[in-house]
This record gives sequence, C-alpha cells and structure tokens, in this order.
Amino acid sequence: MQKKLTLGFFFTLFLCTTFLPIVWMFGNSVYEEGKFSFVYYKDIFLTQKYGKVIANSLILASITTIVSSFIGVPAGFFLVKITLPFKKYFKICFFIPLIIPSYIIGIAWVNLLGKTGFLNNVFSQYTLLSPESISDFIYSTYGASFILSINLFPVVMLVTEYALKSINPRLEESGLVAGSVFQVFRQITFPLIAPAILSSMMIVFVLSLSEFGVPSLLQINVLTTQIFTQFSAFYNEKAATSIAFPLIAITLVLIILEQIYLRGKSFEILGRSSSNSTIQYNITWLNVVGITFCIFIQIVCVIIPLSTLIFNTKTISAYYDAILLARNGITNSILFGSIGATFLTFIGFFLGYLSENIRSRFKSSAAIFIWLFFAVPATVIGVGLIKLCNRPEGIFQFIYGSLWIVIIGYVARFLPLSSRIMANYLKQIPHSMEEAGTVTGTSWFRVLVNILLPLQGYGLIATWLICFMFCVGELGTTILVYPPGHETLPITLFTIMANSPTDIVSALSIIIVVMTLLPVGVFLAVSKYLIKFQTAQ
Amino acid sequence: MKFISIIFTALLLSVKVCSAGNEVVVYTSEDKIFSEPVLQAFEKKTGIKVRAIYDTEETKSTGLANRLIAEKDNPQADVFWSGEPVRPVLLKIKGLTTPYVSNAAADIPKIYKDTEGHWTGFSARARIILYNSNLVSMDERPLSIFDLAKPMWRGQVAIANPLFGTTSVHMAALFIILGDEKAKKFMNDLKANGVKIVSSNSEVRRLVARGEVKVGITDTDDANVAVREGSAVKIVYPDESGIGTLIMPNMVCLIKNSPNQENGKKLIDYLVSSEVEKSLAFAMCAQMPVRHYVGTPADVLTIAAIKGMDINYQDVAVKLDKISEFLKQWAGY
Repeated sequence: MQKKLTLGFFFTLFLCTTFLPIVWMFGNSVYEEGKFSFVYYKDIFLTQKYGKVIANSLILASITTIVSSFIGVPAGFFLVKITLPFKKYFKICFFIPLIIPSYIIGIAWVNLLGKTGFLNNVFSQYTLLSPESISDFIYSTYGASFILSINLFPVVMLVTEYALKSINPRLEESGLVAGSVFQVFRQITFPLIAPAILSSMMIVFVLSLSEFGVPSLLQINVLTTQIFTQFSAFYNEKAATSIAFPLIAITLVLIILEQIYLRGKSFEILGRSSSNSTIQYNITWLNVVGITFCIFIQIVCVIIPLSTLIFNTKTISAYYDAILLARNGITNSILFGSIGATFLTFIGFFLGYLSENIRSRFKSSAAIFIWLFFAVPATVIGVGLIKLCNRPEGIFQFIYGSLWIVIIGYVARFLPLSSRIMANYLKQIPHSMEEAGTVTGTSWFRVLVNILLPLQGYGLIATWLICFMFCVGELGTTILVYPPGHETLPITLFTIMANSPTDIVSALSIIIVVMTLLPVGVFLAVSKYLIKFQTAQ
Repeated sequence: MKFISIIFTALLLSVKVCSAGNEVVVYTSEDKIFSEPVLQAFEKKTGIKVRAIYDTEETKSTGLANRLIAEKDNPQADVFWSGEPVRPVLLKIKGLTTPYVSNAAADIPKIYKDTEGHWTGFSARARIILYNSNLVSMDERPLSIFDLAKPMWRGQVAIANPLFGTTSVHMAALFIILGDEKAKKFMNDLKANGVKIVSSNSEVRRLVARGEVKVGITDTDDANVAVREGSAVKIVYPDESGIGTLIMPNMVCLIKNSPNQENGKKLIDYLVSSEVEKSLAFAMCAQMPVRHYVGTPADVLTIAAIKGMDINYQDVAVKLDKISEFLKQWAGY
C-alpha cells in the first residue's frame, strides 16, 4: 500500500508537470473553430512537404548518435578501466562541451572552419580539400551533426562510466581467471553495460532530434526549425504543435525497438562489493591507446572551442563586465539548477522504479509513456505551461510569479530523461534484493532507504549531474516562462549576444563553464565522500 | 523525510514572488545592452521599479511576442517595447493592446504614430548594406540593394532569414514599394545569384567582418557594433536616388488589461521622450532620433539626412502576413 501510494503520487506529479501541458497543446491543435479537425496533421502525413524535413531530422540525429557513441563509450571506458594519468582533470574537462551552449560551440566551429577560418586555412593548405568544400561541410547536416556530437558525447561518456563502476568487480575477476581481457569485455562487461549505453544513445538521438540552436545557426531545414517558423513567423501554435508530432512518433518507434531488443535479457548484477573497487586493465598498449584517445578528444572537443572563446575575450576587463551583467543569472542558475536537478533525481528515481523495478504488466508501457514526451520541443512545453499556469487564481499566480514556474519547466522537460537514466541503473539491481528486505517484514520505505538507494549511489550521482547540466543550460522553455528578475545564465548570454562586443559574449560563455563546473565539482566531491561512508558502513 | 520537509519549507519561504506594487513590467525585444540603461534611468527618475524581460538572439526577437500572445487571457506585461515596427501592429491586430496617446509624443512625426493610439514610434534604425572595406573598394561598393542581384556579387552576399525580425519587415516593405511581381523577381534573382541566407543580422555582420562574404544586408545597430569594434567594414545607406532606405523605429505599446496600467503609461511617456531618443543616439547602437531637433553624435546620421522609404507600418504588418508563405518557400523552409 505504502509503495503503491508513493508511486501513484510521483506518477501523478509527472502527469501534472510534463503530461498536462503537452497534451493541452496537442488537444488544442486538433480543435479548430469549435470542432475537431486534423487539418494541420493532414499537411504532415498526406503531403510530401515534410518528407525531406523528417529525413533531415533523422539523418542529423542518427549521425550525431553514432559519432557521440564512438567518442563517449571509449571515453567512459578509458576513464574507468585504464590507469589514466590526470583522470580527474580529463573527467571534469569532458563535461565542458555539455556545459557550453551548443549554439556557442557552433559559432566557434563556424569561425574555425568557415571560409576565412584558421583551421580552414590549415586544412586547405595541407590537404586536397578546397576552402569552399570545408566551409560547405560545416554549413551542412553533417557539420551540424559534428557540432552536436561534440556537445552531446559527455552524456554517453558519463552513463558508460557510471555503468562500468556499478558492475560488481567479482564478475570480471572470475572472468579474467578463465579468459583474456577481450573475452571478459565482450562476454561480461559489455553485455552488462549495454542497456545503459543503449539508453544514453537514445537520449542523444532524441536530444539531437529536438535540438534547435545549431540547425538554426547553420540554416538546416529540420522539424525543430519548422516548428520555430510556425511559432515565430506565423504565430500558429497549432501548426507548430502538430509538427512536433513526428518527433513523438519517431521516439515511440525507437523505444519499441529498444524494448524488443532488451526483451528476455537480464542485466541484473549483484550491486557493488564491499571492496569498492573497479577492475582496471593494466595493459601498456591499452593505456597508450587510452591516453592518446583522451588527449585527442580533449583537443577537438574542449581545447579548440574553449581557446577560441578565451582568444576572443582579449582583456580581463571583459570578464569584469560579463560578471556585472551576469550577477543575477549566476545565482539564479545555480539555485534553480540545483533545485531542479534534485527534484528531477528524486522524482526520476520513483518513476524509474515504476517503469523498471516493479513486477507489473504495466511496467513497459509506463516506460514508453514517460519517455515519449522527451522529444517534445521546449517551445511547445513553454507555451503549454503558460496556458496551464498563467491564471488569476492565487496559487497559480504564486507559481507563475516565482522561481517555481522555472523549476516546473525543468521538470516538464527533463523528467523523462532523469527517470530513464534511473530506470537503467535500477535494471542492474535484482528483484531478490528488495524481496529479501520485504520478507523480513520491513516497511517498503525502510527497504528503499537501506537497500535500494545505497545500491544506486552512482546512478543517483550520474542522474543529478546530467540533470544539473541540462537545467543550467535550458533556454527554450525558461525564456517563455521566467518571471522578471529570475533570468538564468543562458538567458543573460542570449539576450546580450545580439549586439554586445564579442569579448563580453565570449567572457560570459567562459563564466557559464566555470559556474557550472564549480557546483559539479563540489557535488562530485561530496557524493564520493558519502559513497565511501556508506560502503564503510 | 524530515530533512526533505525542512528543505522544502525553507525553499518556499525564500521564494521571491512577483507581487504588484509600485512597479511596471515591460517586455522588450530591443537588445538588452541598449534597453537596460534606459529602463534603469526611468527607475531612478520616477522611483517606479521596472521589471523587465528581454528577448534573445536565438528566438530572433519573436519569443516575447509569442509569450504575450500566450498570456493574452491573463496579461503579465504592462508595456511592450519592440525593437522593430511590425510586432506591435501585429499585437494590435490580435487585440492585445489598448490605445494610449502620450503627450510626450506630441512632437513625434505622425508617420511614426498609430492613428488609433495603439503604438508610438521613436528612435529608429535603418536597413543598410554593410561591406568589407578590405575586399570592396569605394568605387565598387553597391549603392542599391538591387545591385546585389548582379553577377559581380555572385555568392558574396549574406542576408538574415527573411521570415524573422527586421529582414521580414524589409521584405514586406519591398513588396509594398515594388509590387508583388517585381519584388518576387528581385528575390528570385538574389537567390539565383547565390545569396547566403543566415540565421540573424549579427551573423551577417560577422560574415562580412571576417570577409567570408563581401557584402550583407543588415541593420544600423549591428553595423555600428562592427565599426566600433574596429572591423574593416563600411556602411551604405542604399537607394538614396531610388526607393530610399527602410527606416525602422522602435515602437512601444500598452498591453490591454495589464496589472499596472498607470505606471505603464508613465514608462511609455518616458520612452517616447526626446531624452531617451538622445541617449539611444549616443549609445553604441547609434539609433536615429525621429525628432529632427534631437542632436546626434557626428558619426550618426540624422533621419533628415537619409531618404526614407515611403511606407506605412500598418500596411507592412498586413503585407508580411500575406507574403510569409512565399518567404518560407524562398528561404527553403
């Protein structure tokens, strides 16, 4: 009963924050002049107009997912499995591309690979490529995928890293006694982390599918730019919402395919051993490959965009001016981001449990249902929230006029994400652990606090970190709902971008990186201490 | 559980709620860097707290218009200060504004004021041609936007997406001045000449300043930022001997049924004053006062020195609505 009530409460919370505003918008889009009408949907499904746009979106998302995985999985693997020097430094650095807004990374790369860009000059001098072909590449769907891969690979990396850390080392140890490192990785390690990797790939796919900033900068015709055009050029929210429908349909197909792939497979592992260690492969050539790989990725994904920003900043006074501009945004971002990430992790845990750990025939439909809404673009959610929450009644005025509307915006956008990440970590805990607690007559809350939560230490940290970074970088929904005086850093950045000197914009981008990394560092340190403390107990 | 309840209560208590008091809420699509000092000056002068929301580059200055439309049933903003002249007309058409004729705007020329008092224009920008002075000599520089469709500029022209912002206003004005057929032909010629369609006017500025294209069509404030940053760019006010240059005033309007109507009116009085026109002329955006007597710095042209296009902003908004489908196809969307 305790369990049912708790899960019911969190599912209702999901319905109120994420489901309602989106369904409100879709409901509105099929209601025209007092009667039901599918006029906007006919355009999408019965004309050729959107075929190319949908294809572009799929190409963009597919390439981004493949490239992100090729970077993220090895990066996560090397961070955990080899003796990498400056490991912490690499780890923190690999977060940076996720923190810098994709639009800013886009501008940095367009500057470098554009016709007069530094790297364009280098490549065109020393390779057979012409300056035009390099410039054409960066302004193409492939260029957009390249930029988005740099931006999103940390998601795959982080999920892979924590999945590897969650594996009980005894499983690998016993494998190593009988076989080689390759065999252990192929037959034990990889199959155990496969659902987590697949899940992160799905996250990257859906994120790139619903990305607007980079396609807009490079003028790539995808579903999100079409949605934006309907909203902003035609002020037609019904048409805009209807164009978001293919995004949901694509996500539905993907998640069904994933469910088919995972059906019948078991990913349960016995949780962490008390030794709190992770097996590392101390093989010289693997170390060399790992270090070379990490340095290369560091240069392409971190040093190049970051040094472009630092180079553009030119003077120290630019940082001072940027801090003056962003004072309010810094405090708000950290506060809202922390609250948002905490709520998302907390609610995400229970929704993840609902969609993964309960023995119920509804569990797979719950997972599909929750995840579907992740592909809905930020603008649709933002307008939906205004329609729902901007009402003259007291409680609504309180929410709409305070930081809570921003937090609700974060929850609406990222709850499917946090619940999915949590679900994949929960997949690794066998039901028997919980059942063992329950048969002793202990209450479900106690089982939760003493068994499930401690076993999910790494999962909770990974979820909080990813949610925090996404919340701090959120723009699309926040810009539509934030009350005056509650602007966040991305809003400050994008409001000054139009006509502020380049040095201030670059300085502000660097401040965003530092201000996001600081709490991330503190959180990592505190959580590490907590996990050690818990394991010791 | 106790711990969570304590944190939750503390958070609730620390919430800053936006309550009505001696304040005014303004949504502005004028760039924050230029509008914020003006709003702070108003605050200092009147003691009325200004709570502002600014638009972003990424939403092409249309995010706030969307927000105002979505908030229609329970308006939060008292005043909308637009950086261009079409969005306020659109809001008027959608029934979101209420008339207010400010005495402070009595000396603003009639063409910048709505006959029914829904909007008032002040400090203006112009649509100009920006060229890279390292790549284009004074003699070669294009003097008319129609020159940009000529073969010598093939692949060397950048323009922002014509569906959004001031570029959309410019295109609608061209359709009015030239007529649909000629305007469509010009745009198709421009496209056949390999015009580069980019995301925003500041992107046009960036491409011209870096020499990735030789010329671009953009706004005076974007151009002035490039000039003041020391980029090798120069400005041409196009078609001085032809159809003239498009002048785009800022516009301000009062939102219907907003919570602080009286303070909203006071803010409008201030924004349309000659004091604000002067401060925007001397700011980095170098906007042109619409009053002929307001002084400008030596390097900022006065409106009297430019031949402006002969258009009515209400007509531009209506025209934009009609040509949007063509513009969408033209931009490849």
